[in-house]
Amino acid sequence: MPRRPLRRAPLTLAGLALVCGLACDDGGSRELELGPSHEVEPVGRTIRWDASPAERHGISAQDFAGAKGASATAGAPAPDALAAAEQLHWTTPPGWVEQPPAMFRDANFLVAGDPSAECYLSTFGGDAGGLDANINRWRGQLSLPPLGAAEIAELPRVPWLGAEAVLVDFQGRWTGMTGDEQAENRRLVGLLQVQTEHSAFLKMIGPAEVIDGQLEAFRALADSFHAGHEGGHDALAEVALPAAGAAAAAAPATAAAAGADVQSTAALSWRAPTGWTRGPPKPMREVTYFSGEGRKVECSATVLDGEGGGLLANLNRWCGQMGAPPLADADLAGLERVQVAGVEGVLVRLERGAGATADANAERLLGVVGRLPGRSVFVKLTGPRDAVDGQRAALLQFCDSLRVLP
Amino acid sequence: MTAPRPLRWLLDALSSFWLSCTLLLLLALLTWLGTLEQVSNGLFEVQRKYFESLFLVHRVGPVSIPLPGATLVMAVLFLNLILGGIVRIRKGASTLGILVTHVGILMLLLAGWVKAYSSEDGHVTLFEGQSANTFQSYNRWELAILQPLEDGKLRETVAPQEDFERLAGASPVTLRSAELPFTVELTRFTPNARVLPKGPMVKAQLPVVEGYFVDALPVEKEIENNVAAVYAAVVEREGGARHESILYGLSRQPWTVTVGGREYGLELRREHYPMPFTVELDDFEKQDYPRLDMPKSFSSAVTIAEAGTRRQVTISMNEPLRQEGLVLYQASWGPSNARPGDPLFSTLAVVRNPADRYPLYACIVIATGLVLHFARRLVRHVRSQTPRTA
Repeated sequence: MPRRPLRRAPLTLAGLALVCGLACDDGGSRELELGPSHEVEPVGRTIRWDASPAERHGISAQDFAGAKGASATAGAPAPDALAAAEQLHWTTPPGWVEQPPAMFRDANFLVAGDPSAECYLSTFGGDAGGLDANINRWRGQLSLPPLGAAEIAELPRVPWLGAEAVLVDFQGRWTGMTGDEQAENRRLVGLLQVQTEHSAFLKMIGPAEVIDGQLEAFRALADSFHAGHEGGHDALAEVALPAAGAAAAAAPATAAAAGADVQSTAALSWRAPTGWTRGPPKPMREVTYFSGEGRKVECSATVLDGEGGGLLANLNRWCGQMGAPPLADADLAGLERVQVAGVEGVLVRLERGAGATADANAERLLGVVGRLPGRSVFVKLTGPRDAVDGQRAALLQFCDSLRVLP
Repeated sequence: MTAPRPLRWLLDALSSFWLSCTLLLLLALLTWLGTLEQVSNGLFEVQRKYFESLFLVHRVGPVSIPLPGATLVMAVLFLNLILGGIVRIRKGASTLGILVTHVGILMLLLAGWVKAYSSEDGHVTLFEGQSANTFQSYNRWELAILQPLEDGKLRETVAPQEDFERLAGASPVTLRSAELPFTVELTRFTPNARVLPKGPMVKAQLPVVEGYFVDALPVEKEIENNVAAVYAAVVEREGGARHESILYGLSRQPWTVTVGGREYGLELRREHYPMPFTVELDDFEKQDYPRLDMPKSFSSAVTIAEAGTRRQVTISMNEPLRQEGLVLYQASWGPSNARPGDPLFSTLAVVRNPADRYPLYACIVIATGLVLHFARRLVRHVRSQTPRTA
């Protein structure tokens, strides 16, 4: 124990102050001298000295749509996310005030001229994160719980912009894009058209009492959008918009046309073949479907990073499950090629043999493996022999519709 | 004359074999811990914490374990090898191989030191037909002030990331240069952000400028995935007119201001490093395995243009291009979800490392030392096993 502890107190306090000062320094007001300039030749670059803020910041449209953050190869040129909107035309509903287009807003309106209600069209290259993610993002903004895939599949579909769109109508407490706002009794009516190549979103949001009276105007606006290259536009057809005040239920009135809707998880999107019934989630799998008589045919899709352990190893794992003799490298060349997730994959057909570990129902296995850069897709279909053969065409259609999401 | 006792004790300790063993074990431990932590904190953060530090605190649940950083360990190991393995080792034919081996290890440590403190790493990403004469950092930002010149060139004034990376709040850092008719005030540097438009239903946490605001995002553990943003204001020296905007790391074009009748562009970008030549991507070739969409190899046919000369070179996965102190490796390609027929870009990793060849030379020296040592041991062993004949 020091004999005179207070003797060092000033030094200690000075040291602590220095440490605290360094730790708490937030880089407050400073002035710095820039280094000398230098001349460079702008090789491979064309600078526009009149770019607007929207043109400068446009690339982050992908982030806004719920896609993952910027790529590690950020230096790579990015696709123009707004290109899809270049040929769109529309008619502004009476009483609405058209605003200048902004980033993520190819068409931008104040609903009925009310500054607290707005409607805008956003278009993106790609699927913008997928249908489910965008619907649930909107629900999150209204403090509503997310919908499951089955509930989303039952939301009404309407023709719009030459393809099918999902119509949503939600009501709740608005928390805003950033989750820190509070506004009660807000209603959101929107159309989501999500495709692999292009996606479009029309969103009307505002106080329920304002939105309630603008549903016809919303329909008219949606009808009026048309792309020049599509050769016309689609009406919202016979699907009625929900009545005023009926949004809170958010329940679909019309079932989706079976087999037509794009579904997705975080890693995969697909179109379910007609007659397939989605099963409950299972570990490792992106999705499971049942089909055929008695729902005895089971199909699962899995996405793994890299090669997922290797093509041959995975095929032989299936061989082991079916009690079939393992394949050799030379056998790979003879396997049938099919389209899966946008690439050419291999299809293997295995019969149940002695020592099989798979479910007794799995008399035959059709397996498809597709290798994409950095990911592998595995699709397995098992069941009674004849039933599996009966679902082969549907399997190939399912594989072809798969898309691995970034 | 002998050294004073404390100095002798210090020399003994620093040159001891036990210290060598301890340091090597510590290096192994740091490598192991760093590898484990990389999963949760990312490569960049782990390199900084475990390998570029003098000291660190490793946490195991609620327990904090202080450890020396790899920089300190390797510095002491360097000293230990010089004192114990070069200066104080018994000199003679029997230790010649060990001596040479120690010299090789010292060269290896030296190479690491040179690499750590004087190298530049980055990449060039090009589509076919594009060219570049700079490469850019994976993780560092800089503010560039551009001024177009009459001959088509640009005059660049650059502020490194250190000048503004600690700007968490509204207190600005003011950058000035006698060559510029204005000062630049930077505030609210956000290491990972997106820039969003301010609509009627959108509440912005940070100021709205030109209809946009910075929305801060959590910092990604893979630091190269972060995209920074900063609020910038240009204040004219004459008249004090003020122009404000947001600079964003993914902006396609610079923010342009006109001061004194001249245009200036400001941009936040990945740190650029000049190359003494221009590289142009002529052809990117990706070969797949037969009938499968699995890449077997990929390579870039490039043209190197320098001082009026042009030459064609192919850079492939194991055949980098070495030119003017730079090494260009075939690193990757994309977009990863491109479909057949889509244009692909090629990413070339570029490294400027003065000690690029040191590890090769060090390995040759180490191998020579080991051959010398074990050959001598072998000869002695053979001789001891051979019966003597009178």
